[in-house]
Amino acid sequence: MKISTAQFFSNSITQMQRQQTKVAQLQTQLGTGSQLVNPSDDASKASTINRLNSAIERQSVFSASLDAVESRLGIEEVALRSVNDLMQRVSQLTISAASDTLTAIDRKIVAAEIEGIRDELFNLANTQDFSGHYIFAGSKSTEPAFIKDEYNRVTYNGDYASMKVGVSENRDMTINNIGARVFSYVNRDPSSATFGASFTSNEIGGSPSPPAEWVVSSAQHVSGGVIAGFSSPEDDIYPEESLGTDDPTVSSSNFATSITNNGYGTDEHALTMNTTATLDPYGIVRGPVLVAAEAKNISVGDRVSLSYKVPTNSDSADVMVYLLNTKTGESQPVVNNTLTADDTWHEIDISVEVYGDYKLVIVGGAYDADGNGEVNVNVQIGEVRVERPGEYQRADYFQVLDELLSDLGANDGDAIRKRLDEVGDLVDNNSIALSETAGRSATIASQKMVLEESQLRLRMMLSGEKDIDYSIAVTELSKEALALEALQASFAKISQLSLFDYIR
Amino acid sequence: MSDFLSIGASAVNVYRQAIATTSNNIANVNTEGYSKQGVNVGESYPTQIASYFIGTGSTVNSIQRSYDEFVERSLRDSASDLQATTPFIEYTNRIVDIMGSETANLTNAIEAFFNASRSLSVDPGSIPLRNEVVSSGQALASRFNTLSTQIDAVGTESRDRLGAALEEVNNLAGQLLSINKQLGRNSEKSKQPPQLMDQRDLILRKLSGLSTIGVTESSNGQVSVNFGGAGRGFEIVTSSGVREIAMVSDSADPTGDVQLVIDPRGSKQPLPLLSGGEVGGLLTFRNEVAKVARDGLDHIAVQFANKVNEVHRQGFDLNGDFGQDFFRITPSYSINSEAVSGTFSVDVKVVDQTDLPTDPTKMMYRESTQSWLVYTDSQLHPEAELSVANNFSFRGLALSISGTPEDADTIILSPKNRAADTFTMELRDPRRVAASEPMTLMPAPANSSDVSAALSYLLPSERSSGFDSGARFSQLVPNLSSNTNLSLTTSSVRPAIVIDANTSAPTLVFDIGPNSDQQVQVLTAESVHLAGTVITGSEAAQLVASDAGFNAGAAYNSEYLNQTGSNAYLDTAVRLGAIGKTITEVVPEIDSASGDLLSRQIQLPPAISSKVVPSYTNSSGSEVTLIDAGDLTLNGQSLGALTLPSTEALSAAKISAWLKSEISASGQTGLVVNAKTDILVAGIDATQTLEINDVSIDYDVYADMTEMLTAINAVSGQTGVRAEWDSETAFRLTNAAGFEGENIVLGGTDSVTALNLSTGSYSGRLVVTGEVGEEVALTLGAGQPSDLGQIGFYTGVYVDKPLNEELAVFVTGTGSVGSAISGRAANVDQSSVAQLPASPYKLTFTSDDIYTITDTATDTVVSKRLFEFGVPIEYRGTSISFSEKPKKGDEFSVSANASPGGNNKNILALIEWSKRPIISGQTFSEAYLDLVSGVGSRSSMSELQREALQVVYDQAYNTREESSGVNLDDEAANLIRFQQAYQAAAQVIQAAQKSFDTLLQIR
Repeated sequence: MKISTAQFFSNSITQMQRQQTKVAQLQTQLGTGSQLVNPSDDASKASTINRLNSAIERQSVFSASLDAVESRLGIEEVALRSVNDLMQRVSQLTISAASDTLTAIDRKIVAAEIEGIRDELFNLANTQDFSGHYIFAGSKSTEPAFIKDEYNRVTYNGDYASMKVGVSENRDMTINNIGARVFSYVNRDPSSATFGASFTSNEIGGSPSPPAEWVVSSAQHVSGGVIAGFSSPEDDIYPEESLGTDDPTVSSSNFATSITNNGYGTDEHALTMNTTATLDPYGIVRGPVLVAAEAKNISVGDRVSLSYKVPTNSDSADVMVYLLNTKTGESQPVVNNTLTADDTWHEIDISVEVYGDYKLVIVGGAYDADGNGEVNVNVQIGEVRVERPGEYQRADYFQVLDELLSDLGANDGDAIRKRLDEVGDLVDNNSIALSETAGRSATIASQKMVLEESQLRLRMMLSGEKDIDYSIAVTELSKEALALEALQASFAKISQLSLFDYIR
Repeated sequence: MSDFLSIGASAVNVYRQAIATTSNNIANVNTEGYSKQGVNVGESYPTQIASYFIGTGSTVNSIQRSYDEFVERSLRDSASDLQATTPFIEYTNRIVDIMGSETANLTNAIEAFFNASRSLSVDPGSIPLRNEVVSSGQALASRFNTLSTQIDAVGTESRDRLGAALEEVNNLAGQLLSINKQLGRNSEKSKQPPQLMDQRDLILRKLSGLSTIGVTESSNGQVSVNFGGAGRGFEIVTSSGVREIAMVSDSADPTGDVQLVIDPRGSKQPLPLLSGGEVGGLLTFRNEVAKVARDGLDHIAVQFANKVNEVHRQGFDLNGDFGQDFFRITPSYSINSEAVSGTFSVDVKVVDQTDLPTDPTKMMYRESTQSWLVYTDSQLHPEAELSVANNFSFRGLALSISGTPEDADTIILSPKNRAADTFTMELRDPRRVAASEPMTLMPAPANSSDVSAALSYLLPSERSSGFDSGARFSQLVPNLSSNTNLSLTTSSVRPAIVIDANTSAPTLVFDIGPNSDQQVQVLTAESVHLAGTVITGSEAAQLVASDAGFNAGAAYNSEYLNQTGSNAYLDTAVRLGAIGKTITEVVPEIDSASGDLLSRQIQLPPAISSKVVPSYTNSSGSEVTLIDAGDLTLNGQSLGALTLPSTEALSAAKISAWLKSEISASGQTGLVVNAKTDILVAGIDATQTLEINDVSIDYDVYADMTEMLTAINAVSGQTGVRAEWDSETAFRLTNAAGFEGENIVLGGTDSVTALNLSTGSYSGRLVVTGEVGEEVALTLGAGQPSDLGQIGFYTGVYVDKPLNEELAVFVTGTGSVGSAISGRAANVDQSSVAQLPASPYKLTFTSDDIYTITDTATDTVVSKRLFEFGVPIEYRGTSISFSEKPKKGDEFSVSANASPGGNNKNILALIEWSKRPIISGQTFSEAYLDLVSGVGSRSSMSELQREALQVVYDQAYNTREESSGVNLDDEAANLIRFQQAYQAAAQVIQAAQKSFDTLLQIR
């Protein structure tokens, strides 16, 4: 095959150029230390390198997150340990106070110490982390987890959301303990408390009066809203009244109570309160006021139910019923109704809003509607019940401590012994939360190890893709350089050959 | 004469020419495109002497150019193929370098954004971490912009290069034409000067490097060139002329389509795409790489912005407001209106950035249908044609055209700024990063069990779709402000009409007659019965069959049936009946003092009016009760019974009297009832007879309308009927004073009276008017729609306030019913509360398996459902799942999140989307890397192709050089050969000389 001169030259030059490009490429690789000079050299390798870089970046973010979570769990653990220690102390104190050899003074001393511990527990329940977030408040961490009202009762102010944080590609971890579960409630046996003895236990006719535990106050004539002989609730929870121009004068009044057998349910009795009065001019009669004996240890959510009616032989009557907290004097309205004398039973069923000890107050009154100066009020009350919904009664954490304090103050040995079991339950709950937190810390530690390993692995893969192996590259370079040298030398030699040299 | 002198002379001549040719070859050894020339020596014609021939020497027959047409052609073709790959690889690699750069690629920026979000999720209230998120978002936006600009730069450059290549083609074509013209002087190829032929071939080779060409050689060497390949018919050079090639692009977009046209200043024919040569390589690059990369980047930008915005808008920021848009894309469109003859202006607005056209869109006005036809790539989009002319929407764009377009006016819309160009960060305030969930779930403290419940949210696309049968209100009344009449068939299984959520003052009016059994029932999707008549359990079960869209687990609830005020469902009463409200109108008037034009609000008193009272005569023999007491209620007061004594006919007057007595009995002042009977008489036929209310009317057979009117009025005292002019050509028969509302009975000897109306009883209408500021409500009490029909009123459905849910309106019974509907879409309440996934509610377990959902604001039980443990409870946009089975008495309330500072649910939801496949089954990062790999693999495929094509080209080149190239050694040998021959020939001459001398010396 013939090769033209021009062809020979152009072929040689092309080959040399190609070889030089290869050498230059290797040189750049050696200089930069990476296999991929331009992404266009190997686009899929470039993509792989990008993926690996992203993964490594992500791992370092996870690592930072794990550090933050670790420090927060540390704070939680410290707080929970302190709580545990304090509750152990409370348990010890309660054991010693349960023994009846202690006097009232001794018990009061114990109560003082427990009160201090209770305040300390409240502070621990509101532990904050470094950024000022309340760690036991669920996701409502900008507000304190537990708050005290003006009567020193503690309620949970946070929410029930669990805070999750991503700790690896596929794993989320819950990092918080919800305050209401750490400082959780105990279950008590449901033994229904009634406000004093029930009506049913009273024999009809045997004792026409209401049970002795019920206190009855006599009829009062009012034109304002105050009832004497009794610490009064606010005026405005009484029904609306239209007043006479002056205080009426009462010429005669009578008041009676009795037990009848036409209660709301079958075989139930009813307590009747009856007031008659003569007034001049017209006005309002309030009375009687019936106060049930104290029912103790009412919990939030307990239901109080009763029924009431105004029989036909009465004027229209106002009926008002409310729960009175014996310690704080707060009242929770139950009934506030004006009934015509239609002899129909009305029922009411409410849920107690705040825990405590309560008395039930029942007031009936009437307005001299026909203006004849005479008032005759008859109000009948059916059975009053306090019920626990569900299987158990719940008593909140701080409620138990408060009740323990009041039992110690009241020198009530039996009650203190009941509290002992409950304190034991509280200690157990704390331990559960503590072990959960410790478990989480352990998980974090192992997760960190896993993360380190995967980071190392990814870095190695990246290096494999990206970095050049110097020994291989240098060998390649010398090989290609050798080839280039050979090309150049042979070109120099062959291009010299020409027939013209030999033609003289 | 064959003497050896002349032989020698001819030989010397021949060899001198041979040496000259050889030295010409040597001189042109480095000339580009030179084909080796060879001397073709032939023997001269011999002389004949007696019986033998004696030679006369040699001549040069021709100087031949060594040229192989087929080798040339294969060289040209392989050059086209090879040259196509070079610009393609070069530009594609640039795109890969831009997009795949290790530090400046999109994946880094996307990952940085999600990483900042991950850090924020650990401490969502922290302002510095929020700032991180905002700045990483800004970095991402600028990364999009940068990548987009850089790709555009490559696109622009490739377009410029394409332009230069086409210029070059045109240049070469011009040069070839002049060569053709020179070649035209000779008629045979062999007579053509080789230098000209060499030039011609060189130009053809250069042309083939620029694009694929087909070359046809004629007998004299002239060529005609076909652009695009042999046989494609687009001649750019012929023996006599050239045609230019130019490039046009439809859009201002650097990576947009370009079109090659031939003869741009003349017939302007478009050329199909070609794939060879530099031009072909550039076109392939633009269409298959640049466009793909650009569109891919834009697609990622749009999807990313939309998804992040969607998730972000669902969460709460630190201020307790819903999150705003995080990113914003504002593509703009350029309007090319070259082909218009009318005068108008076009305004383009982006309304839905998820579905924007990326190719140029052509719109042509068609006068015959007064509508615009929309094309993309010559594909017609029929849906745009149906819209209202001059104001329509197409794929996420809202177009409004003002002015007068003419028939066949065409405008071209093309994207000027692409999505990735305009990707910006909308959110700047770190406090407004919506990390928190919008609602919280709190178990009531009194719950007996410690069940933990988890609250999650449903995206709008995941919520239940509502009623799926029944005509939708919003579709029947397209812009929801005008009345629409339609006829509906009754069904006790499918709703007739569905009132969409957030419809303000929807009004449905049904024309139900006095004897119809049709009932109207209105229910919510949770089977709460709002308005209608009391139904039995089995009837209810039929209505709420779940395949009509009712929630399958919800129980029928009639607690709110026909309730009003605070007892009503969500404190919004839904009433059936005829209800008129006070209308406030704005009237312009001139202020008498200042002369200014003022607008005054006047209030028109509420009123309801009936249609013509149904005609009914009591022929039963005893009194008939048409409407029972308590069936109807007027303004809250129950109405007594309407009775009709025997033999009497029902008339508007009787109903009016009944209403009036009921109104006064109930002590309601302010309600006024008017009754009136009206018959329009448009023409008369005085040859017929006429009796009105049994009184015969006297008139002449030639009487005209005026005389008829006078005749009727003459006896109005007896008939109780008056006639009065209504217009120039018609008069009305109406009640005389004192007889308002009484029926008008027309009689005569024939069935058609003189008034061109048939005989019979004509009844009147009622209007009940109320006081300004109040309403008139004639509603169903215990009655049914047919009771309203009995007194001539329609049954309407009236909803007091817009409800945030759909209502199903059933019309049960037999037959079909005519209806009229009107209403308007309520302004969507923008307050946070109204935008919550669900209005705050309480979930109460009334038993272990049944729970109720109560709306907290209005204390309305909106649903009563069966509980299935393991299946999450879904209500509106919320979904609640329980870890254990709750017990009877447990309560959970869902309300707006009042302290969003510590909650990280929404930022976790956002981070989820970094892992979820969203673009064709891939995550955002993966989709981008895929795009880069795709472009890269095109490039490496092209590289492989180039290597193979290089071999082919080298082969062709070598073959050509083999046959036409100059080899110096070869020429050197030839030189020696010819020199020797020359010397020898010179010797012959010398020998001849010597012989002649010898001859001359003979004495």
